[in-house]
This record gives sequence, C-alpha cells and structure tokens, in this order.
Amino acid sequence: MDLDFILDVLGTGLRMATPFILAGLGGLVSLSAGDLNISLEGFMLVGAFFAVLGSYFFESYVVGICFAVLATLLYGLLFGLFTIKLKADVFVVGIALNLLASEVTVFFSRLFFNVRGSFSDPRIEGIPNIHLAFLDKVPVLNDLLNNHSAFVYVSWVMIVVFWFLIYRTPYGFYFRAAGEHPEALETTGIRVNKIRWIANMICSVMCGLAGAHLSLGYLRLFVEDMTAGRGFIALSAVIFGGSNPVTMAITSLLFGLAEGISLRIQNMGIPSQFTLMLPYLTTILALVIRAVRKSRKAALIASIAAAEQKIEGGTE
Amino acid sequence: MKNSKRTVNSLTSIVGVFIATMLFGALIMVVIGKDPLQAYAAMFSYALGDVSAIANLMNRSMALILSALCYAVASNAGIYNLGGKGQIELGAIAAAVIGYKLIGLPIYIHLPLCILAAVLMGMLGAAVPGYLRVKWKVDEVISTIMLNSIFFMFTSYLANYPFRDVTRWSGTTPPVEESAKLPYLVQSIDLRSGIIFGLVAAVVIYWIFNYTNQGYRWKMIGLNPRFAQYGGVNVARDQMKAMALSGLLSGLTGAVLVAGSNYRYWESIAGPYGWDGVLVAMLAKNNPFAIVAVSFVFSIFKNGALGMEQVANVPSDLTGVLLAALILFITGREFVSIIFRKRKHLVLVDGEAK
Repeated sequence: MDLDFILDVLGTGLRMATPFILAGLGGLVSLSAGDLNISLEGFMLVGAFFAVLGSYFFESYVVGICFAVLATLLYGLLFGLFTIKLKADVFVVGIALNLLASEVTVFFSRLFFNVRGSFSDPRIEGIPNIHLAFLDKVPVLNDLLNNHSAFVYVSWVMIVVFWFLIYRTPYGFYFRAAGEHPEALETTGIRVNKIRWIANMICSVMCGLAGAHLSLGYLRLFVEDMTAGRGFIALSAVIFGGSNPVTMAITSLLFGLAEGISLRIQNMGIPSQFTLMLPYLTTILALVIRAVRKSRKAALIASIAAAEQKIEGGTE
Repeated sequence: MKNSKRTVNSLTSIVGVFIATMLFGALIMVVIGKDPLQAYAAMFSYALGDVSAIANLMNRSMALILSALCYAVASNAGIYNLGGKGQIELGAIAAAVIGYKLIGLPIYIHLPLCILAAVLMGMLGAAVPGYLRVKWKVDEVISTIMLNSIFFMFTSYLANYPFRDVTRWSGTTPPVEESAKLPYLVQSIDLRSGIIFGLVAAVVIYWIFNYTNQGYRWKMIGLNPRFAQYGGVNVARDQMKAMALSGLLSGLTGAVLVAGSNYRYWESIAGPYGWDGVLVAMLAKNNPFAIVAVSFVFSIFKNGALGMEQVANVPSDLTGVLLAALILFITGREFVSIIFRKRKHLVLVDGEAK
C-alpha cells in the first residue's frame, strides 16, 4: 500500500461522492419537509439524459445543465402534483417515477438519437475540469483536490449553502416544521403545502445537477439506467445523515470511498460486492439503531409514567 | 357472492384504466407521426396471434403473477414488501445451486428439493425486514429496498466466485441437471409448466384471503392495525406470517424462473419482474384473480411491443413508458374519489361553521 494508491482511492472516492452529495442535499430538504422522495434515482436519470440531450443539440455544457435542471423540475412538478396536490402515497409515486424515468429515457434515446443502450457523440460537450492554481505547489493536496470536474467543487460549496439555508434562514425552520409539526406551521399562517412545493423544487434541481454531473462530468455519454443505484445510495446518505447537510455529506464521502475502493479492488480481481454492499448495510444498521433507541426511550417513558402513577396511587 | 361482485367491479375499472393507457399511447404515436391503429393491431396479433404466441404469453405471465402475489400478500396485511426483486434472486440462486450440485437424484426428489431451497431463501430474505419491522418498527419500505441491493450483490458474488460457471465469461452458475428441470406442459408450442404454479398460487391466496381466519385477521390488520390489536389479534405475529408467505412466493418465483425456463442462475435473473409485480398488484388492488388478469394484459403489452416495432415502426420501448405511466393513471383513478370526498368534507365544514 503505497501513498499513490491511497491517494488514488481517496481521489476516486471524492469524485464518486459528488452525485451522492448533490442529490442527497436535495433529498434532505425534501425529507425534512416530510416527503421521503425514493425517486432520487429516477430524477437523476432524467437529469443525466437531458443534460446529454441539451449538450448534444447545442454543443454546450451550459445548455446541457439547463436542460437537466428544467427537465427534473418538470419531473418534480409531476411528483408534487401527485403527492401534494392529489395526496397520493409518496412511496407509490416514487416507485412509479423511478420506473417511468428508466423507461422514458430509453424511449427518448431511441426517438432522438436512434440508439439503444448507450449514446456518445463528439458533439456532446462535457463539464470542464477546474484547475486551482494555488494548489500546484502543495504536494499531497494537489493530487487529491485539484483538477476535478467543476461540479465536484460545486457540491462542496452547496454543502455550506444548504447548511446555511437549513440552520440560518427561516426556510430551514419552515421545512422542519412542515415535516414534524405541519399543524403548528399552518397556525402561524404559512401554507404547509407551499413549503412542501418549495422543498420538492429544490430537490428536483439538485437531482438535475447530480444527473448532469453523471453524464457530463467525466463521461460525456448517456447509458441506459446509468444511475445504477446511485439515487438509492444518496437516499441512504440522507437517511443515515439525518437533516444535517454536514453529516449527510460526510456519509456521502464514506459511501463514495466505498465505491472507490470497490472499483480499485475489482481491477485487482478481488470480489467487490461486499464493499458495494456497505452503503445499504450501514443504512439498515442506522435505521435499526435509531429504532431500537426510540423503542427504548418509549419503554423508559412508559416505565416512568407507570412509576409516577404508582407513587400517586400510594399517596392517595 | 359479494367477493365475486367485487372482483367483477375491479375488473371493469382495470379495463377502463388499460383503455385510458392505450389512448394515451395512441396520442404519443400520433405526436411522433405513427399510425396507432396499425400499431395496436400488430401488438395484439403478435401477442395473441397463434398458439405459440399465447404459450409465450403464459410463460411470461407466470413470474408476474407470482411476484405480484408476493407484494399483495404482505400489503394486504399492512406491511410492505418491496424486496421482491432481491428475494427472487435469492430463491433463484438457491434453486440453481441445488439444481447443479446434486447429481443422480430422481426428478421427484431433486425438483422439490430445489423449490424447497428457493422458498426457504425467499422466506429468509423477507423475514429479516419483517422482523425488524415488528420488533423495532424499522420502516420496511426502506429496509426492503436497501435489501434488494444487498441481496443482489450477494447473489452476484455467489454467481461470480464460488458457484461460477467457468466456461461462461461472467455472472452465471452452471446449468442444472435434467432432474431439476420442470417438465413442459406442451413441448411443441413451448408452453412451460410455470404457469400452473402461478394459477394455483392465485387460487390458494384467494382462498386464504377470503375463506380463512388468517385471511380475515390480515384484512383487519391491513384496514386498522390498532383496532385489530384491541380485538385480540397478535399483529406482530400475523404480519411476520404475511412477510414469510410473501417471501415464500418470491422464492418460488425464483425457483420457477430457474427450473422452468432459464435452467441456470444469471445475474439479475429477476429482471423487471420484481417491480412490475408491485405495479400489477397495485393495479389489481391485491385481488388475486385480478392479479392474474392484469398480468396477462401486462404481458400482452410487453410481448406485443416487438410486433409494434416491426409493423408500425413504433419504438418497442414505448410500451415500457405506457406501463410505467399506468401506475399514475391508477392513482389518478383513486383521486377522482378523493377529490369528491374532499369537496363533500369542505361543504360539511362550512355547514358546521355556520
């Protein structure tokens, strides 16, 4: 294990974490407003496809990103229409939108590009890498942090932005109130549904960015179902990290690292399935730990209440 | 009497939903400049045109029926098993491994052993999230989705390392023995016996739902778990049983996929069946007979897609879009009543306010 190898794995992990962070931040806002959006996967896929579509037809990655964001916003409208307006079950709509995304992107790539499976073309312009000149002279950090695709840095900035949004603006409070005590929020004169819509739109945009990063960040192509479960890993990071963007981002980094390691050891012929399992396993573990704690707390409260009753009964 | 009436009612509304979906599809075809009549004619003739087409339809419906029943059994008891995909993979690899490792057994011992192994693995796969749910209230929707990926990775490991067929380039076990293959129903038209499993399972589940105490308790829990608990039903135990039966059906799906048609385990052998089963069950509102009907219609769309492409030049992927859009139509069907109820409710509130 030499330093180069470790740096290589760490760098890959950083890159791999970017879609998790971007989509996760969106999912986090959506979850704190009370809707667990299990279709992050589908949203990202739509974003990835339309990023390629825009970039191909206009030969500009900026248009590609705009297309991705607009398309996921429209997709988010569909999600909002069914969950908020029509009060359908969030999970049912989520499942449907995941399936729809995978089918629609395949259908559209047949329709627009007349290909099946994967589409790449020299006309597709990718999101450029960013070179940070001030890191050139720093030995280790330069290898690790420099020359990543632009969205890697965008995702880091977004962590701060979302932390600020959630803990330092009234909206963060509204989101949490809409999720935890909607009636209380409603009595203060703020429409819960409006807050849910805003959260949903933020989530859509973030997934659009994550998708654009997937298809234009390093690869410059669209492949059928190219999200390959990344939306579910982002969802795991959200569930694991809770409503705090920083813990969510750290979780994403760890998951990214697990993917980076998987990729490397796979090349060496070692089974990578168990490292790939890690994000899902840790999520279930986190759910169990949280649930056990909750049930212990409930049992404790119940026993205290019972004891109090006994004392009260004794004094009478 | 009442049950059959309900079945008829849900069948008519299902027909309505499919007609709406086809109209939606026709609209898309017109927009992209194709002839919808020609396309649909091709779809039906391709999927239903001759005996072997119908046999093919039956083969495809089998896995759908079983995987839809898997979701229906659980959700009818108020617990959601979205892990069908992973559990099918577990069942399939168990059947495949038993199928090729044991040599020289007669078919009437070997085949049941394969199915037993698959069913046990499926039950195990469903029991984990079920136990977490009833013991600590861990949300089973999330845990089953996560377990899908975990089980997939696990079976992929097994098929790539310990049980790999070295003559193939990736992710498959060696072919199973002759004694681990389900016999054909009619070999000349390629009609396989898997469909029998689907139909028998549907009848059995219908019977359990409507004519047994267990089915009644599940229905009570599904409608109102607290009420059921007060009424003396052991909710945790009954939901565990529902999960176990659900996993059993997933495992069986895997077994039939291996023993009935693939004759070995391929990576992601469950393919679309896991999620499509969920859609079918939702569309059929968990009614086992409606599930059989919907599975056939689903399969007509899927099998007919190629005909649409060859004759009317409509991309075959359109049917996938239509079927995925279908679920939105279903929720739409329920909305009409929700909107009406909401209006009524508002009027009442107004009345009270005055």
